[in-house]
Amino acid sequence: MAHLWNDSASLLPTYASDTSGVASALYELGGMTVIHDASGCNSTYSTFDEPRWYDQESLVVISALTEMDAVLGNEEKLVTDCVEQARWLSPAFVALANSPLAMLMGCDMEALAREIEARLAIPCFALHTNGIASYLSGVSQAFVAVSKRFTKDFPKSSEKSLNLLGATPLDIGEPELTAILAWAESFGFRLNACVAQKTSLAAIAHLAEAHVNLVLSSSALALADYLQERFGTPYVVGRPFGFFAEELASFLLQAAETGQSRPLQHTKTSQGQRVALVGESVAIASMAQALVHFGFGQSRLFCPLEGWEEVLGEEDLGGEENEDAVQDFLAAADLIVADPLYKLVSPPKTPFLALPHTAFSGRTYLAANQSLLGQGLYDELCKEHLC
Amino acid sequence: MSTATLSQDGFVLPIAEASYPEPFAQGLEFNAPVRGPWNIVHMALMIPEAHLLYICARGCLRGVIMTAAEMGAMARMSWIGLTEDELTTGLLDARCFEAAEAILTKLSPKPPLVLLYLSCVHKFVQLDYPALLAKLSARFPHIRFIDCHMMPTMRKSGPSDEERTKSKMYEALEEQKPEEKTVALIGNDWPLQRESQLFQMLAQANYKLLELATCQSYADFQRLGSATYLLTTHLDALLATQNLAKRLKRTHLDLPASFAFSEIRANLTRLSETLALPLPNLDEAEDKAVQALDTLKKELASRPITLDYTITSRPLSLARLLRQWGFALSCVFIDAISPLEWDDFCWLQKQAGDLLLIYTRAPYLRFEALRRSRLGLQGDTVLALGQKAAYFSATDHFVNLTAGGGLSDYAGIIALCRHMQEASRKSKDRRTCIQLKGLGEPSCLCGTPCHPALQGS
Repeated sequence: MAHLWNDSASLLPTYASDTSGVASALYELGGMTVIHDASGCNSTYSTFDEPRWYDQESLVVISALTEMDAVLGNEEKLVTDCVEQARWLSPAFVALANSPLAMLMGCDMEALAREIEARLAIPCFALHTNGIASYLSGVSQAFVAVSKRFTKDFPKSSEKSLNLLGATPLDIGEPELTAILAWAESFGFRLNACVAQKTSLAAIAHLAEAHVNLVLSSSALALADYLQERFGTPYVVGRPFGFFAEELASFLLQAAETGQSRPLQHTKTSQGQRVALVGESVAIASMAQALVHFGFGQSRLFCPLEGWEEVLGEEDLGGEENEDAVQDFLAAADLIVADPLYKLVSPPKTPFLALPHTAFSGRTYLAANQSLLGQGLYDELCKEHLC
Repeated sequence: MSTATLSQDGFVLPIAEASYPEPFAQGLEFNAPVRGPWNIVHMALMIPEAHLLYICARGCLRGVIMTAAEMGAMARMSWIGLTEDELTTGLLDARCFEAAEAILTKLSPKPPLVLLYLSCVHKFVQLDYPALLAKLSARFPHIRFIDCHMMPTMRKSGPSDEERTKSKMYEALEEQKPEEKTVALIGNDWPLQRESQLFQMLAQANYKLLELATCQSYADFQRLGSATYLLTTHLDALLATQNLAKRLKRTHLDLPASFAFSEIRANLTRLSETLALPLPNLDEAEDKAVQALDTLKKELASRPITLDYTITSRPLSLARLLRQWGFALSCVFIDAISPLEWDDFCWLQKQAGDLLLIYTRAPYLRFEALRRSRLGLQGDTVLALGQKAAYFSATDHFVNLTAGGGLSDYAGIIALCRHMQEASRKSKDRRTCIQLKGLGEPSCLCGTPCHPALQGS
């Protein structure tokens, strides 16, 4: 696979950043997430990257970093402000995330977290963000950090149970999540926890009880590895699109029985029509598997984000956002699968299967979000006259 | 609940106890889901045909890019994402130039103006702005480059990003011969109300009013530089107009928007004297405003009213008017007091000391249900003036205007009374209205495609 780099664009937006990822991952867990930033990180996150912002309470705030505090390295203000708010609002934990300027200031966030924790006597941890990496990095760090702090060594549940890992709204919209939750309980597993939507900190505490973890996004691979190492829980990687859901279900049963994890590795076949997929690596590799059922065997993937190394195959592309490279990549396909904003760099006549991705197009296509699980994918392909 | 209990929390203060200009202690901040007020993207894109190029880290870029995306203006916006290496190893100057060159080379047709947005990280690492602009100007001689700034770190210690953007936008006006009987209104987001006394006085004396809000082309925008007189009505345009008046050697007339009859009269009298315009019968205009206020007061009676700073640049002037007329204004959602409002602040402290000031960034306000019970607000019985007031008061009866909405003078007060009457009678879909980015701008959430090429998608 090739690794491309050229982070600039004149047509496409950029993906959500690591600070948004942290906030999204921790949103429902009852903590206070503090982004050490002047202003933009919180408004960007709450406007474009967080569909729950209007309706669901959560304590995500910024430190309101000023120029003077940045120049003078005044970190005591951050500590004092966090302690004051936490004493009053009693969050379950405090999570600190750095913005680009705080990163340049060389803030030692781990030291500040220890200071806050010492003063408050509630857990406080720092995430290594910089506003430069993508949301996947932030989600990944936040999942592991919160699990390290709160997951307890409970025995496996008496009935066969499953954790869903990587379900943030940045990757998985409400209709799809609802379908996945129903699907997860339809083949003999009890749903133990969904990390981290429709969930709570108590669910994080009980993650060890599950017999197997399903990794829905590359943002949860680190958490899956951590839970495997600490509790011996195997994991399966994949997102249940179309009839690939049936294969995934059998992989999960197998993993729960054998204790062996099953990664997702994209392999292209030489049969069938050519499909080009762009997006988060687990999503597009899973969709590629699902499309084989419909005659699209020659799939190629382009993941413009981190986390592609473990999933993408030899002929796929991974790396940073590169408008020209995406355009070339999409030119020769019989079918394109991507967020609808990628139509801007797609050949206009090529059939396009929309896979709205909040981490990319924000709230633009939230209303168009739907489940492509089971029959859902078939129906969408029929709309494009592809089945 | 007594105001004494409320004030202990620090984010709710009776105005009698508030200090000037910052009534509230600064700490962690919450961002309310209220998106109507314009940001630097909405403002800069008002210049027809201009292209915006943002250079920053991904986290900062996404907000401005998605703002343009939702407006369907992606074709007028490009971005360059910076890496940690570039910011810390001296590669920044070269990277900024090379990436900007690559993007601009691809753009066709070339824009007449590029607003190049740099940010606080550039300032922190001492990027050489003039050198970058000089190199780009040499490479693209037919494009005018203006350096703009996205520096939220300075929003509390100097001109805001909005003030800076407005100032920089008007730097693009070329020097030109003054055109007789032309007046440019600088820095307003909305076209000036046509029924306003200000507009009517100019029109009746055959003065041409030039406004960015009505420009259709870059040539229209450039014509603003030909105005003999430059007017400002909002404080955030003052810096822009002062700089422009100095550079183009024009007369600057500052007529701050106000809800005080005496101030409106003084403004119009100054306009009349400076431009030698006949002064209309202001007593008659004032009587009509009084009549509108009286009628509205009769209808609203003791209905609770809340107000926020996004609806007008003069929230305390408006609060003063409402209290003078006996309206049941209970609180003003406001974060800081503008120097223009010192007199109104003092008047309210003495005459309406129980009026609550509420800090909109307080993290505690996140918890709306608790907040409502603490403040004793009653949801839909409240009439809110502005989107933040609507959100925090949890009411669907609200006046949906930002930055004055172009209203001005006595006619502006009459129009506001009409808006209040309509809002009190008819509810709006608060959840949808206040979450739309940039009130009055196109939005893909209402059917505008994110890009012309996505029409029908």
